[in-house]
Amino acid sequence: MSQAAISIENISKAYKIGLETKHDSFKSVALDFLKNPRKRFQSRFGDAEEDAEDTYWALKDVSFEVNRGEVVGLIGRNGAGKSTLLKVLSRIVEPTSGRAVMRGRVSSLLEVGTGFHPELTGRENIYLNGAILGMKRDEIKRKFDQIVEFSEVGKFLDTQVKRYSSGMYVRLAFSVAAHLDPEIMIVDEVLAVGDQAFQQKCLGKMGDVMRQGRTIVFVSHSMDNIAALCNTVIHMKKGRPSPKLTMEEGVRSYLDEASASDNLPLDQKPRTQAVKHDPIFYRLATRTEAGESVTVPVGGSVTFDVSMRGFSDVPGNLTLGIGLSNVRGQRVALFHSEYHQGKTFRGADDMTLSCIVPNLPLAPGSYSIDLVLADGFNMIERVERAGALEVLFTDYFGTGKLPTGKQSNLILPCSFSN
Amino acid sequence: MSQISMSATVQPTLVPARPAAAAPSGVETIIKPKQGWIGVDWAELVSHRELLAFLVWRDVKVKYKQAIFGSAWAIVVPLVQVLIYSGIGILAGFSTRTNGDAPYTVWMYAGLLPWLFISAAISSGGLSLINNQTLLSKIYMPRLFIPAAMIGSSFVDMLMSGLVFCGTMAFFILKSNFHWWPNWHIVFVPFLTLLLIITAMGTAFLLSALTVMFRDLRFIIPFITQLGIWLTAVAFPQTIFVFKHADGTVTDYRPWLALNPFAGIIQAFRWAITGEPLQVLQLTSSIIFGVVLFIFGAFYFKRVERRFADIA
Repeated sequence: MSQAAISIENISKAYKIGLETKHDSFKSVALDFLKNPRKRFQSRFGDAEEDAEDTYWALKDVSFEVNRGEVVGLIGRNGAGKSTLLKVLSRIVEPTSGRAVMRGRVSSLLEVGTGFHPELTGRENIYLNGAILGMKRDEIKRKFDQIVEFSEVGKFLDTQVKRYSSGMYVRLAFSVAAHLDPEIMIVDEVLAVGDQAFQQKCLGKMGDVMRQGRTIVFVSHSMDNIAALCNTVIHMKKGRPSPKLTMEEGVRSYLDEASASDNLPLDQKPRTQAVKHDPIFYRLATRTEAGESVTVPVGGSVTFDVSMRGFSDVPGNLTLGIGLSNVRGQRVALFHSEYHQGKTFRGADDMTLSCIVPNLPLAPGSYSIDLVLADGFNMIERVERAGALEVLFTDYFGTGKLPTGKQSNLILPCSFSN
Repeated sequence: MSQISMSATVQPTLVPARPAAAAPSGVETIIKPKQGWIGVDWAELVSHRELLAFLVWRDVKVKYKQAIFGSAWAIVVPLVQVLIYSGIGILAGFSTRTNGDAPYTVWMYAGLLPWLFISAAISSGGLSLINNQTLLSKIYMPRLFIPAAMIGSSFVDMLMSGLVFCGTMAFFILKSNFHWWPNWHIVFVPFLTLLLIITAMGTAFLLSALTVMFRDLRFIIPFITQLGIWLTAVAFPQTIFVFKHADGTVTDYRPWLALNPFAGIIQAFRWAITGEPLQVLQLTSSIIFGVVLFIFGAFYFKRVERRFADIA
């Protein structure tokens, strides 16, 4: 008998395209029914059919084993199937075919604070969330003080969580989850929350869990977190997993894949959308004093022209964020229409926004440009690696030398004296 | 026949297999697709019963949290409705058409109390899943608990309101100088309450699952409860369905109410408290319907549950 904590054998998961976003209505059912009575009746009231044309395989023949005590990082681009795999392993969605065996008590943490109710107090939510995550009442009672201490919200325990700051909310929610006592833990990118200090604390807690010999499957976009926690990496591409890789190999493979799509025109690049929609971002141009260019000297000025189309149906006060990330996938700068200038805009059929950055003090190196269209905190469309920008060495300080991208992200002036 | 449709069934079986030597806790979960109609995993529901209690507690707590009078509303709302409908009934002359000697207010209360519970089951139970989407898409839990918890919290309301009903009956006993008492049939109330809960659960299971699949129901459900109060003969005596013709013959349309499974329960509650004649056909229909609805509702829920996370 296999000793592996998790054995996954040929798991596949198919989605009917459009199924996630298009809710059934009586009208559509009635129309479908008229078109093809028998088949449609079965598909509506029974099981989804397999139909090669409009089927999208989020996971295709995924097989691997995770040994007891192993910490596996799942990496991959958006839509590669990482989250779907976690949902299958957490029993939230069912595989279309294949089989997985989980040997041990499983806890999954795909979202921080699932089931938290804003009207309830911190104390009440600890009990409620604990129960939803699968803890018994006695267990929650026993760990209550630890949870409160870890969360640092002791003073506000009897305050409704709707009055909490978002940081406090996240800390409390993570603390409950961190005190689960599972043998197998399935964690989506929930560490990317809270302030830096709390993130460190969470990573520390994950590390403790690891050292106790728990098995962890962990999704992250942050190569830093992956490097800190995982001993094995699996790189998901289009629903298929890579063989198990070491940390080094995994990160390299991920970065290689990320640059492979850079040659596609922007309107064909993979993107994440909250609600399925035709691509909105379709053109990104970078301009410097020298005209359209993808290179800019350290400290130089650069303008981003972002063109969007066909989103007049998107409601809300929209904001545009332009993020720059370095080769390690670390975000180093964000230019945001609302944060920087308090500007929001409405959906339109076609519009181009220009963002002028007078001085870009980044270390020499390659940077990718991420675009995010959002309504407040609700992301509408996000394209990672929508474009690239190469920051070139220039004799910025007149010394002929500069910190490298490894030594410093930013090139800031200073003076030394004694 | 339905082989084609079943080929793409996506449903994991969760078989707690024999203790695996490998896992210290001995828990082993197998995830794989399963086909067709799936049974309800009662053992799992029992082992998670604390969660159900927490969800009920959450609903009750949240419902009255911000209200200044808090849970007093659970008592006041039915009381006001009883007064309104009694007032209308007395003005409209319905109050003289009940059978038996119970005060009209008591008669009204006896039917309105279970009706308010049913209508809460239809409205909040039906909407419970789409109002708790993160519980569907972000965590695994026995999802039958989500509508069940709504029924639980509505039942807590009904119990509180039931206390006031007892007080009301006591008032009328005193007022009549101990001449009027509730009928001895009142001993059947626990049985009727059980039937009521089963029917409400079945309704909530079915409606909540259907509402996830067909969002139209969100708009239809409020009409169901509004129409229901008339079609179920809650606010007026069933005797208005008995027509006396000029030649002395009588046409009794009451058996038709057996088509409405809720009518029988409401009438049976009134039978239990006031001793008006029991509509046996209606009650039989209610019992059969309630049990069938509960079983079918739970199974239909399990059948479409596999798609909740994909749709929600």
